[in-house]
Amino acid sequence: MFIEMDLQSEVPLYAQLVDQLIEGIASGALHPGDPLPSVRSLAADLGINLHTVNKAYTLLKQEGFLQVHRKQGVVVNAEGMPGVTEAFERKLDAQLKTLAAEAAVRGLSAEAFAEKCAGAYRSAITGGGESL
Amino acid sequence: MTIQDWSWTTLTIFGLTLLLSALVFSLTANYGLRALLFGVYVPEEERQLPSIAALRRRYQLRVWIAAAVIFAAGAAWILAVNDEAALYTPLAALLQIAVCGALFFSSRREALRLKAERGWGVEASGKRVAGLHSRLGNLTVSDKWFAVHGVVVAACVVCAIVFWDRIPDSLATHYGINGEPDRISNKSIGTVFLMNFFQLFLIGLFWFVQYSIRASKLQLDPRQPNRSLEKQRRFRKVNSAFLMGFSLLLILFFGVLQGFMIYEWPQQAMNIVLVAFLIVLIGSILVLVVYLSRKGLDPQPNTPPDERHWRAGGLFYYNPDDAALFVHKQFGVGWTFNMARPMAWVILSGVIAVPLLLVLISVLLT
Repeated sequence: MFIEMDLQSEVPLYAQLVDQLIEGIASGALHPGDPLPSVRSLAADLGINLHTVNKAYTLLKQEGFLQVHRKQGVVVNAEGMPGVTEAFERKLDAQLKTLAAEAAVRGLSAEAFAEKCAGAYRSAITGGGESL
Repeated sequence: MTIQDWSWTTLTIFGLTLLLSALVFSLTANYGLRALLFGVYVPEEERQLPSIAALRRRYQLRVWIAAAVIFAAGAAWILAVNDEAALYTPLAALLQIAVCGALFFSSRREALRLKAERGWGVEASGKRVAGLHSRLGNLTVSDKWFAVHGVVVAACVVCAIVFWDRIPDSLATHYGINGEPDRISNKSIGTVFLMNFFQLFLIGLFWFVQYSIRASKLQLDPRQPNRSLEKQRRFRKVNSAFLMGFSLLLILFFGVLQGFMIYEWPQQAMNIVLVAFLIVLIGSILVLVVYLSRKGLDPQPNTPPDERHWRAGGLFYYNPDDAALFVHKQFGVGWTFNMARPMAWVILSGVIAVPLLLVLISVLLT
């Protein structure tokens, strides 16, 4: 699996990395227990600061998506994913609300909006968003 | 052997040394990335431009003319003066490096002029791609091969211990380029085993080179990450295998040198060994470069370099926001340091300090 960073994007680099790693797990490109490169080597290959990668890994570890082993280094959590937490539901609600409001103002129907959501979900779990 | 014979072997070694450095310089124009013309990025659609090929040819022609002139002047001098040629080979090599360096930078200026004329804007894409699994599997040949080097060193040491009584009390510790000893030292641990210390240092140095090949930045081409990853992996493996063989040759060479020092092997043979060593070196470098270019193996992705971070005309890389310690050079052969990392300075001073320390210890021991 490849990580692609857009240095000119408004999305912070650490957030781009977090999103892509979660997308990788969702699509099955990354399996539980899969090793990830060390902070140093991923930062070096991307040509970005150590702290950026470290921040992304730390966030994902706190959420329970990643584990840090003393021997194996950073791996995708082998004991399963964190599940739907209250914090996640709040985040989901907030982001959906923003998008739903704009969709309504722009005249997108509730059905079309729901269909978009379902489509995004399907393509996330099949990796449809990625070019194969 | 007559004096005339000596000057012919001297001339051969002199010529081969110049040939080697001329070869390395003329190949810097071809080795590696087609996208870079003397460190200047050329957009894809402009690479077939006749003036680019002409610029490369002109540079190479100048390098060979410079080598020929230096060789002719040096040869005339050696034949006329017929002694103390030891000094001239390194001096001539240094002169050649200075001249070729100047030629390189004048070609780079021409490339920059071409860039301004043709308006090669560097649209730094701002996209960076890295593989999460690109470092799984071996990027270099196994370090276990260094065991062979170790066996060679051990054999040299064991022989010296076994034949200790046969080793003469005064040893030639320094040779002129004509093969005649010009410094004699007393027999001691330091002088007998001097070459073995150098061998150990070389093993350490080449282990570090292998490590740096593994550790250096694996930047991929965002448009075709898979292909560029495959190419870079192959490039590293081939270079690593070459360097493993080359370091073994160097260790063997130092072992033979030790043999000449302590077992009083005939001195004429040493010149033959030196000539053979240079020929093998030149031949293997040629084979490596031809192989890499035939297979189209690039050392780095086909993307414009970030020119803000390449200082002094592309010689040094300085980027505090890049975690990479080793990066591929913009031109020339091999990898270089990110000078913004303190570790780069630590390693550089170590590489300079350790041989100095070895020489100092051997001087103190004698």
